[in-house]
Amino acid sequence: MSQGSPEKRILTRLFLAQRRLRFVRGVASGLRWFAAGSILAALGLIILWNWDRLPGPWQWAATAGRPAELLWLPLLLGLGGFASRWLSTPSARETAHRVDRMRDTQECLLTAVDWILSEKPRTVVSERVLARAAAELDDEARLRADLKRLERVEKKLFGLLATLGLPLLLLLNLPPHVGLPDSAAVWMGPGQVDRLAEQLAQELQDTRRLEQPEAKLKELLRQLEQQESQPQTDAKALEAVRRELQQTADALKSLANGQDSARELLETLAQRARQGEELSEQDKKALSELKKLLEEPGQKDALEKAQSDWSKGDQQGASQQLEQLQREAGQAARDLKEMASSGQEKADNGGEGQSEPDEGQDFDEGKGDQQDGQDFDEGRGDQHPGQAGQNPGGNGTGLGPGDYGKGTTEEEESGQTAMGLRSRRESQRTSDRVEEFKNLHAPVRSKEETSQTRVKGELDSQGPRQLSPKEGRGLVTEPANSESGDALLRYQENAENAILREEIPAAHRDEVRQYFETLDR
Amino acid sequence: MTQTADISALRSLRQELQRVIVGQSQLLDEVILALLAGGHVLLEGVPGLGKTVLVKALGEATGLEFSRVQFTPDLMPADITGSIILEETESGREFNFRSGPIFSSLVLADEINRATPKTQSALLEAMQEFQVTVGGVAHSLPKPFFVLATQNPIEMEGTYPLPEAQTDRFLMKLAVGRPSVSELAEVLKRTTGLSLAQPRAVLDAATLLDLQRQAAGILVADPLLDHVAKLVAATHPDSELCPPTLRRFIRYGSSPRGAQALIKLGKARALTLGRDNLAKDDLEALAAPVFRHRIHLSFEGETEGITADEVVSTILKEVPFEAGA
Repeated sequence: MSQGSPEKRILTRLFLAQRRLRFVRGVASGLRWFAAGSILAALGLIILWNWDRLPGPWQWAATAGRPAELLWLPLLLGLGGFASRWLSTPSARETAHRVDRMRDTQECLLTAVDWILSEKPRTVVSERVLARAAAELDDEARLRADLKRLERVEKKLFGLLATLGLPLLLLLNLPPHVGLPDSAAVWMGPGQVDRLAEQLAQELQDTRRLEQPEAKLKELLRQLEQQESQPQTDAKALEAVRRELQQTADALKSLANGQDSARELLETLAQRARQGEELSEQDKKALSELKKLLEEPGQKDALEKAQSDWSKGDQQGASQQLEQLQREAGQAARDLKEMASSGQEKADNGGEGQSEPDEGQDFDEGKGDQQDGQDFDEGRGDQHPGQAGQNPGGNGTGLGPGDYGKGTTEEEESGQTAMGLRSRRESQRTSDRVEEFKNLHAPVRSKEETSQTRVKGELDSQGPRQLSPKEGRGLVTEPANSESGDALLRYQENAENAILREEIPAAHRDEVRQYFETLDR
Repeated sequence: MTQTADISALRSLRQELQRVIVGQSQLLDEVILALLAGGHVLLEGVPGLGKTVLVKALGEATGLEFSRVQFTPDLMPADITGSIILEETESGREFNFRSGPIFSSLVLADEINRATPKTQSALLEAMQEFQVTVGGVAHSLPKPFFVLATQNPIEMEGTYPLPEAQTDRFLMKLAVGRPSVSELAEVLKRTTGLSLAQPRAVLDAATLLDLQRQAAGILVADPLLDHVAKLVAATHPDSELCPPTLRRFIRYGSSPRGAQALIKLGKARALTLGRDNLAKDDLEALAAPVFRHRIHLSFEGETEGITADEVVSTILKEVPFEAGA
């Protein structure tokens, strides 16, 4: 038997209907938001995949990589959508109207609820309406059964769950993520300085395990020469020396990478100082790591002075010191790489030209795995960048234009080391620079095009005329000017190489180029 | 329920009317609703469809004082309202008011659109304010007061279209349709014999007034009032609620009297159906007869052959009902 006043009975029962309505609407809303989340996640993945096409400041997105955590997005949005509707309870009048429609009670319940909520005075008629409405809802079991058909989630909405397949497919099928370029260091700010400092510390830790690799390399080279010069050489001993030589060359490469890291960090710090940034905690930590790497006292003093200047607010002085150190670190890296290359070459001589699949092209040195001294444009040699899956072994002699360092190697796929990543990034950056350089300057200059071989025009009756070198009387002979012409070309080439190695600050690179072009003219 | 007896009286009234009128069940229902709502009805149809018979039968079945005015072009306002005449009395000659046929509870204004607009307008005050002013003196009309006007379609010759102010005073306008063949045969059977069926009086004025009070007391939820207001607003072409497809077909829409009429009639319908509250279905059932003479179509609407009933039907579909917060 029903208890309480009609008002209480009506409102109590109505609350059941309200809960049902908000649950159904919550589910429907959750499903819609889930689908929106899936689409957003898929879009996010596509954006992260193409991060390098974004404007510079937006490339921070690349730091996220392509995380599987994006799959939380549909779930979270779905939950949010559900909660948003669940928390907004349908109004009592609306619910009453829905129940009226369901039971065909001709707005009896709506009128009763409206009467209750409006607090209108009771009349005989209103009492009758309230009693009738209460009686309509008294049977709770019947009401609960009826509520199931009060409002239902459309079945087609459940199909929206399938949208999760979109980001899933992208996650499984997109090629691996390409890391940040080094140029990101500046706009990444102190966080990037911190990251680079940690990377440097790690590389330092790795290289400390080596003991005097330069001396060891010389010793091994000497042993190798001795054994090769002997007519009867033990093949096994020779192989052992070559293996050791290979290991030492690898160690030297690691050292070179460490120097490269230091150079990169110094460049970042120099740029920060040049831009007037305050010395942050991350900068201090980075400088401290750099101190551990530098061996010469003069370099340590310079670093300390730079830190001191920076902390005092003399960012310009600090940036100059850091740039100087950066150049020195770059030079040290090149020297180490040269040593490593010579060791590698010797070690490879006995290995019938087998190449290492996990190393990118060292274009800077003009050596690396490019055997036969082929021009880099031709791409012959042991370049193994290859897209993932296309050349997974990376072990072969690729023909055709090489994609210097772009793409992904097997090592990267299987969780490569920081050094491997850096090496590849360096290669990619170098490749880009080379492309830029080639666009700006012809890759081969014939001597005829220099000012020394150019023929000046002469005046005749028809006015000024430009003579070709072949017909001009003023054709300068090669022996007379070859020395100064070669010198200019050599210096110019050195300058271009310095630009490529980023030893010249970005702000002054154009000036250097213009200087040589002016001389050329 | 206390009104059970009264509702049975309404059923009896309907049965009595059906003894005289063959078919036209919806028309009978709507006339009874207007009677309960205390409003006036305009019946439109070609001559010979039983409009006058219906009104006469209603007068006899309700037991109300009944009068009939045949509107003609030479009918004068005083012929309806009454006039002041000089009378010889015991105390001498004096001017007295002689009431016209309008001083009845049930007035049949037959062929109302045959009279001139001046005469037609004589009904204005009576229909709205239930009083007649003659010679500066207001004379109250009896209660209940109910005008049933018949008119021929305005396309017919010798008709003066009713001014909007007057049509608005009719609670609803009912179209009297032609009977079907079987209904016509039944009409012939009943009206061509020796005796004509005569309705019995099953109601009296007091009962009718009591029923009118009960109808007025029917509860209406606020969301339904809001819905009626929206429906009326939607009949105006410049309203945001007016469906865009209708805007070019409507010249102007219903007045607030239309909303009042819809609520009153809806309450009466709820009462006849034994409910104590107004329902949305009541509004939808009565919207067409309430609004059809209040919505004036534009020239474009008329040339396109759009009817007011179609406009109302579209509005009912397009204006959503909101139960509110």
